[in-house]
Amino acid sequence: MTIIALENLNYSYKDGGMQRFILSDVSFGFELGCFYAILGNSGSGKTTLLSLMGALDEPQSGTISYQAEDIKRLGYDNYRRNHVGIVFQSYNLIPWLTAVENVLVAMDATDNKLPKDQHAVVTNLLTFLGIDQGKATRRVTELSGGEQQRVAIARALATNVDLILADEPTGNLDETSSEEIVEIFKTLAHEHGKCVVVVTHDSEIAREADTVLRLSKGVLGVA
Amino acid sequence: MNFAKRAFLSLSRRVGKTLILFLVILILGNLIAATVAMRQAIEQSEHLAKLSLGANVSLGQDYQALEKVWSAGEEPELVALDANIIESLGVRAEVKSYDYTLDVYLSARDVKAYEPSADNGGYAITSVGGGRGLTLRGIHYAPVLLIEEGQLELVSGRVFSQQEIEQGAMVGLISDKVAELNNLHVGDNIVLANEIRDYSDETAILDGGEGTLAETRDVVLEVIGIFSPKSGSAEASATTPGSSDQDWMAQMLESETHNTVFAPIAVAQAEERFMIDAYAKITPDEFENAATYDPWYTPVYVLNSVDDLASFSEAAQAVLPQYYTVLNADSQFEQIAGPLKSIQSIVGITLVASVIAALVIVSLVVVLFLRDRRKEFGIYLSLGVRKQAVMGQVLIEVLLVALVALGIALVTGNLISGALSQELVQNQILAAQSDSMGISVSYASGAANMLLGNLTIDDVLANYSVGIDVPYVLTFLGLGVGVSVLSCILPLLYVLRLKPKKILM
Ligand SMILES: Nc1ncnc2c1ncn2[C@@H]1O[C@H](COP(=O)(O)OP(=O)(O)OP(=O)(O)O)[C@@H](O)[C@H]1O
Ligand SMILES: [Mg+2]
Repeated sequence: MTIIALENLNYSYKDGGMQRFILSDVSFGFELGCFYAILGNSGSGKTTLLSLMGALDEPQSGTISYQAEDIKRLGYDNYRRNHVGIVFQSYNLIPWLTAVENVLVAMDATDNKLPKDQHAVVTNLLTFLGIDQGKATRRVTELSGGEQQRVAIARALATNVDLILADEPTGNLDETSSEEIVEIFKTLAHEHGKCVVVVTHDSEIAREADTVLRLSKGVLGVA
Repeated sequence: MNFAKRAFLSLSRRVGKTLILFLVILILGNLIAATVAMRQAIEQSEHLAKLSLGANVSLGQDYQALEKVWSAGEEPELVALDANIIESLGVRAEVKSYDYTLDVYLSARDVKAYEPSADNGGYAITSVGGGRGLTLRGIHYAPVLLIEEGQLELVSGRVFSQQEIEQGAMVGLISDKVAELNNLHVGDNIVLANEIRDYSDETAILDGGEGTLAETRDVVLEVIGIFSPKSGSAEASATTPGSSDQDWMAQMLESETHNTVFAPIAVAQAEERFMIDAYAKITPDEFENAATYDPWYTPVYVLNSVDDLASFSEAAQAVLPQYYTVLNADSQFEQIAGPLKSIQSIVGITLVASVIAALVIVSLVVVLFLRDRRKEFGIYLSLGVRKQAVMGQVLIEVLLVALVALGIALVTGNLISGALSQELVQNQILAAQSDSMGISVSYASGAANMLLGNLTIDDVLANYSVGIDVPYVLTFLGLGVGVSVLSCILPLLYVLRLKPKKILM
C-alpha cells in the first residue's frame, strides 16, 4: 500500500540569474513495510528530497500525498506532528534535556493516541533501541554519537507514525553501530510494517534495503 | 513534556544564560524603577502641597499686567472693586462661603500692640508713624471666615451675630496676645485711636517724622471674643533654618495676625470715612473725589473643592474690571513649583530614554539568546510543535526571569531613587533660587494672605517622599513586562517564520 506518493516534484533555486534545478519532475510511490535506500552523489539533492517528504521545505511545483491526501492540505505542521518521524544526520536533539525528555517533547506535540504511561513507553522504546535506564536519564550531550542517534530514532518512533525518514543516520557512526542501526530499520519495516526511507552514501546499507533508489541530475530512479 | 515544563527546565538547566538575562533586566529595571518612583513622588508632592493649600481664592490686582503697562510708561486708571461684583461671585454654586473685608490702620495710643521680641530671634517691626498700630478689620461674614476655616481659633467668647454685623455694632474680636498684653477679657472695652496726622509741614517730618496730630477720635469696641492663630498654620511651619526670607515673612504675618481687631464692616467703613474727610480738609487738592470714594475691599472666597477653581476663575475673569485677577495658592504654587516642574520634565525624558534603552538592550540580549537557540526552535518545528507553544515557552522563560528581576528592582530602584532624588530636588531648588535671587511671588493683600496660605518650597519638599504605592507598582511592572515581552516577540516571530530545513539542514 502506497503511503507517500511524490508527483512531478520540482525544486530549484536561483544561482545568480540562472535557475538551477535540483529535482526535476520527480515522481515515486513509497510502500508500507518496505525499507528504501536512496543513493546519490554529494550535492545531488538527497537531503532536499527528504526535507520535502518531511514537510521541512516546500517544492516549487508538484504534490506530495500522504495516504492520498496532499500534505499541503493536511497542513505541514499537522503532517509533521502526526504522520512522519525524521532522523537527522546531526541528531538534532535538545542538548539540555535527557534522552527520555527529548522523546517526550515529540510525544507532547503529537495528536496521535498514545498509551497513558508515556514514561514507561519511552523507557521501553529506548531499551529496545539499546539505551539502558542509566543512560536514558542522562543529558543527551553526555551520550556517544551512536547513542544519540538511537535517541533520535526513538523520538521518530515514539509518536507511533508509519513513515520514518532518515538522512545519513549512520554517517557519524562506526561500522558496528551502523550495522545495528540498519538492523533496527529493517525490523521496523519488516516486523512493524512501517515505511522506512534512508538517504545514504554507504553501499553496505544499500545492500540491506528492499529497494535502492538513485538520485542523479535531478532524476530519481530505481537503481 | 509540555511547553511550560520545558520553560522551567530550560531556565534551571541553563543557569548561566538565565543569570545573564536576570542581571540585565535587574539593572535596567532599577533604572526604570528609580525614574518611575521619582516621577510619582514629584506628582505626589505637588498634589499634597496643593491639597494642603485648599481651595481658597481672592480677587486682586494683576501685577503682571500692571507691570507691563507701567514699564510702557503709562499710568493705568485703577478702580476699586464694586461690592456688587464681589457679591454676585459670592452667591455662585462653587462658593462655600465668602467675605469681603476692609482694613483700617489705627493707632495703639492707649493699648500695647504685639511685637515679636528681638531676643527670640525675631525682628522688631515698627511702623512709619513711629509706634506700633493695630489693624481694624471690618468684615461682612459674622462667623468670621478665618475662624470657620480653622486658621484662627476662638479661645474665649463668641463670634459676631448677624444682627451686630448688619447694625455695625461696636463690638470686636482681639488676639490672645493683645488681650494678655493689655489685660483684656471678654466683656471689657478696647480703646483704639483713629489719628489723623498732618505731614504737609516739612519740619514736622524732619522732627521725628511723626507729623502733627490734626484730628483724632476714639474707637471703643466691646471685646466679645478672643482668638489665637492655630499652631501648625503658616508661622509654625515656616521655620526652616537657613531661609531667613521666609523667617522674616513668617514673623511679619504673625504679628500682623495678632495685631488685627475684627469688627463689623460698618465700623471700619465709618473710620475710613472719618479719615478721608479729615485728609480732604488738610490736602483738598489730593482728595477731590472724597465724597464719592469707594472702599477697597479684599474679597476672599472659600470654594467647595479644588476642582471648582477653574469654573470659578472663568466666571470671575468675565466680570472683573481691567487689571484685576483671581489670586489663589495655585498661582503661587506654579511659581514655587517651577524647579520641581523642570525636574519632572528631566525625569520624564529620562524615563522615556531608559525605557527605550531597556527595550533595545533587552531585545539585543534576547536576540542573542534566541540565535543561540535557533536550532532548538527548528527542532520543535520539525517535530510539529505548535508555534503558540514555542512562543509560550519563551514568554514564560523571559517573564519568569523578568518578574523576579523586576520585583527586586522595584524595591532597590525605589531605595536608589529615594537617596538620589532628595538630593537632586534640593539642588535644583537651590540652583533655581540663586538664579532668580529668590522666588518672587505675587502675594494677595494682607487680609487674604492668611486664608490663601503661604506655600513654601519647604512645604513641597516636606511632601516629597519616595514610596511604593499601587500606581507606582502597576506603572513599573507594566513597563517592565511590556519591554520584556516586546523584546522577545519580534525575534521569535522571525525565527518561527523560517522553514525548518533552513534552520536544521
Ligand atoms: N536554498 C538553496 N540555495 C542554494 N543552494 C541550494 C539550496 N538548497 C540546496 N542547494 C544546493 O542544492 C544541492 C543539493 O543539496 P542537498 O543538500 O540536497 O545535497 P545532498 O545530496 O544531500 O548532498 P550530500 O550528500 O553532500 O549531503 C547542493 O549543491 C546545494 O548546495
Ligand atoms: Mg545531504
